[in-house]
Amino acid sequence: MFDLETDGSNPDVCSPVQIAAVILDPIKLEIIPDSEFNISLKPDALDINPEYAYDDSDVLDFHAKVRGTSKAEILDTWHKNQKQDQAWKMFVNYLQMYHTRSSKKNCFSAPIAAGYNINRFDLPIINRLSRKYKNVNKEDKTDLFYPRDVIDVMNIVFYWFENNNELKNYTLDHLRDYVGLSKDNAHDALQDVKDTANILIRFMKLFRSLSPKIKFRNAFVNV
Amino acid sequence: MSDYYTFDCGCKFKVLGQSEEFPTIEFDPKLENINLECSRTWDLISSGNTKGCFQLESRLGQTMSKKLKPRNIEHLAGLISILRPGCLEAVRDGKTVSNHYIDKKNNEETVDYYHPALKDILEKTYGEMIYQEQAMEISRIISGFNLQEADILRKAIGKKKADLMAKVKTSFLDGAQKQNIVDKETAEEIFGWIEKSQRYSFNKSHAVSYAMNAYLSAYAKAHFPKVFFASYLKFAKDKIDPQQEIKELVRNANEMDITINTPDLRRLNRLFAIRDNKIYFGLTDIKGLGDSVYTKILQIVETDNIDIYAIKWYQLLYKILSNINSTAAKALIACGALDYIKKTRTEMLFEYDIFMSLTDKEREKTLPFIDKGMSKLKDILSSLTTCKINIKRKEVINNLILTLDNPPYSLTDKIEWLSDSENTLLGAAITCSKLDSYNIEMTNTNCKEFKRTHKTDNIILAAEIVNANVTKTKNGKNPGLEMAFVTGEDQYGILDSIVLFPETWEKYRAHIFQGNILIFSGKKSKNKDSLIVDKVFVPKT
Repeated sequence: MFDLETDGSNPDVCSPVQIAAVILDPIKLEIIPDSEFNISLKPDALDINPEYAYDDSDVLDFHAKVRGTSKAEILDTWHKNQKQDQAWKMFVNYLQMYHTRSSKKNCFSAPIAAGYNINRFDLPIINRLSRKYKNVNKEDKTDLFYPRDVIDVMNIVFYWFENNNELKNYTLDHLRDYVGLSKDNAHDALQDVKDTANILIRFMKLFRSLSPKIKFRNAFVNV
Repeated sequence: MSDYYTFDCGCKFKVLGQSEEFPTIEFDPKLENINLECSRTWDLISSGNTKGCFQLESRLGQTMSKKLKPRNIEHLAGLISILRPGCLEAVRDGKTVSNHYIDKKNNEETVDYYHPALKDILEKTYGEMIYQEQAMEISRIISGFNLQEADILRKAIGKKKADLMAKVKTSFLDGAQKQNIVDKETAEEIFGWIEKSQRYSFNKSHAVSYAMNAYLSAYAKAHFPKVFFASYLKFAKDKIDPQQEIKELVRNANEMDITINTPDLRRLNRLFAIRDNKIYFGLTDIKGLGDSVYTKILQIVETDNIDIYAIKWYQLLYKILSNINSTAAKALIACGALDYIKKTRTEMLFEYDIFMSLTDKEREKTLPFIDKGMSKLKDILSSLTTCKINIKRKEVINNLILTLDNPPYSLTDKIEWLSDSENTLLGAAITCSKLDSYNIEMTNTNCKEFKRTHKTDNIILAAEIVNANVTKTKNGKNPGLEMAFVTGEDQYGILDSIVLFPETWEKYRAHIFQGNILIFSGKKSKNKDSLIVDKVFVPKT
C-alpha cells in the first residue's frame, strides 16, 4: 500500500516529494508491524534548477496549507530532501524485502500494488520513474509490483456507495470524515497509506465474513 | 581410553582420536566388514527414516519401509522389488502385489503357496512371485527345465514374443507331465501365474545388490548421521531440484537432532562441511555465489593477508564485499553468512547499498577512516566530505548521511523475511521459521515430536500449510463427502498426514490454504501416523 505526495497534480509531469508505504499481510489481514517506508524527496524541478519557485502553480499553497506552514518553508524542506535517484533506490530495496512470498522469484510473486486512487494518479508516476530508473518489465511497466492486479481502494469505496448519497465525493478526505478517521496529518503520505490500509482491511474482513454465507456457486444457473 | 567405540547396537569401531562430542573412528564401508544384523540400522529403515538411503529415499520408499518393517537383507531385497512400478501397478483380488507382500510379511494376510511343491521357492517371499529367478526355479522343479530352458522361459515371457511363448508353454506343460508333480490343469494355472508375474517380477540378483547398498547407506546414517548429512548435502547440487533436496535433508537432519548451520564467511568452506562438530553450508551453496566469487574471496583474503576472524564490518565491506558482485555480496549478508557481525542483516544490506553508492575513488578515500577504527558509517562519510571532492558529489554524500540519519524503513530483521531469504538463498529456513512470529504457546508438540510421542489424545500443534489434497470419502456414514489431507511443516519437521474429515473440513475449509499458519488440535490415528483434526485455531501474532 503506497502513496505519493507530489509537486503537482498532473501525474505525467509531477515529481514525488514524499513516498510512503506499508505492507499488508494478505493472510492475517493486518499491516505488518514495523513495515513502514517513508522518505521525502527533492523534486526534479529543484534538482534541475535550484532557483525554481513554482510561481506558475498553486502547489506550494496547497502543501503550506495542509502542513500549516509557509510556502518558503515548504520549498526549503524540499531543497533539503533526499535526491530522487537515491530515494528511489531505497524504495526498490524496501519492496524487494517483501518480494519473498515465493521460492522462485519473478514478477508474479512481487507484491500487489495497492493504494487510494492509484490507478489514475500514483501508479502512472511509479511507472514513469520505473522507466527512468530501468525497473521495468517487457511491457515497459514497473516491475516492482505484480503486473496483473492493482487494488485501488477507491474502486471498492465506489462499489459500496454508488447507490446512495452518504458520501459527498470519493476523496480520501471525505471518506475519512465519513468513517470517523482523524484528519490530523492528512496528506502526509504515511498517514494516508495507513488510513487507506485500515479501510481496505475492514473491507477485506467484511468480505471474508460474508463470502462463506453468500453462495455464488451456480448463481446464474436457471436464471 | 578404549581402542574401540561400541554403539548401543553392539557395532564396534576403532577409535582414531578423541574430539569434544564424538570420537574420530575408523569406518571402512566394505560390506564384508559390516554387521548385517545391526538393530540400529534395521530400526532406522523400519521407522521410514530412509531419506538419503539408496533406493529408499523417495516419499514412497520411506512409507513402504515403514509399512514393511524389514529386519534382514531378504526383506530389504523384497522391499526394493515391490517398490518398482510393476508390483505397485499389478492388482490381484483388488490389492496390489506390493500390498499383498507387505500384509503377508506382517501376518495380516494368509500366506498361500498355491501348491506344496512351490513352498521352498516362494517361502522367503511369503508366497508372492516377485523375482524372475523364482519363475525359473518353478519351471525347473515342475517341468524339469534346465537352466538354459528356464532362461528362455524368462526371456520369452519378459519380451512377450507370442510364437516363442507358445513353444515354451508347450515345453512347460510337456515337462510337467513328465515330472508328474502337478496335474495338467495345475501346470497350466502355474504357467499362467508365471506369465502374469513377469509384468512385475524383478531380477533377484539386482534386488539383493540394491538391498546391500541400501543397507550400507542406512548403516552409515544410523551410526554417523552428521557425516552422512554433510555428504548428502554436498551432493544435493547434482539432484534435479537441489533446493528441494536441501530442504528435505535439513528437515530430516533436524528430526534426528542434527543442526545445520547457515554459512559462515570466516570458515571459508566452499561446500557443506563439518567444522567444530557442526555442519555448515558452504559459501558456494548460497544461491548467487558461484565458484568464481568464492575464488575471488579466497584471493582477496590471501593477497591482503586478511585475518578473517578479526576483520571489522567496514573493513569487510571495503575489502571483500565491494570487490565481489553485488548479488553475491547481498546473498552473503541475507543468508546469514555474516551474522557474527553484531548488526541486523537488514542494517548490513542498508549500509552496503549506501557504501556502494560511493564511487570507486570515494570508497578508496574512506579506507584511512575505516582503518582508524571508525565504527559508524555516518562518521566515515562525514570524514569523507572533508576530503577533496567536487561539490555535486559532496551533495550526494550529504544526502547519504541524511539517509543514514533517518533510514526510510526499519532496520530490524523481520522473521518472515529472514525465513524467506534463507529459503531462497539456501533452500531451507535455518535460523527461524515463520511460526516464530506467532503466539503458539498453547501447542503441546511439533511436527518432529508428533512422530515420537506416545501421547495419542489432545494433541495440539502449529504448522504452516505446505499443501492440501481435497478428496471424497469412500466409506463411512456419508460416502462422497469432501475431506482433506493436509501437509504441514514447522522448523523441526514435516507432517504429511493431517486429516480433516468431512465435518471438520466443512467447518474450517476457509482456513486451509498454502502458506497459512494454523494450530491443529486432535488425536493420533489408530496407526499413529496421522493427526485426526477436530479443531483448528488461527494463531495470534
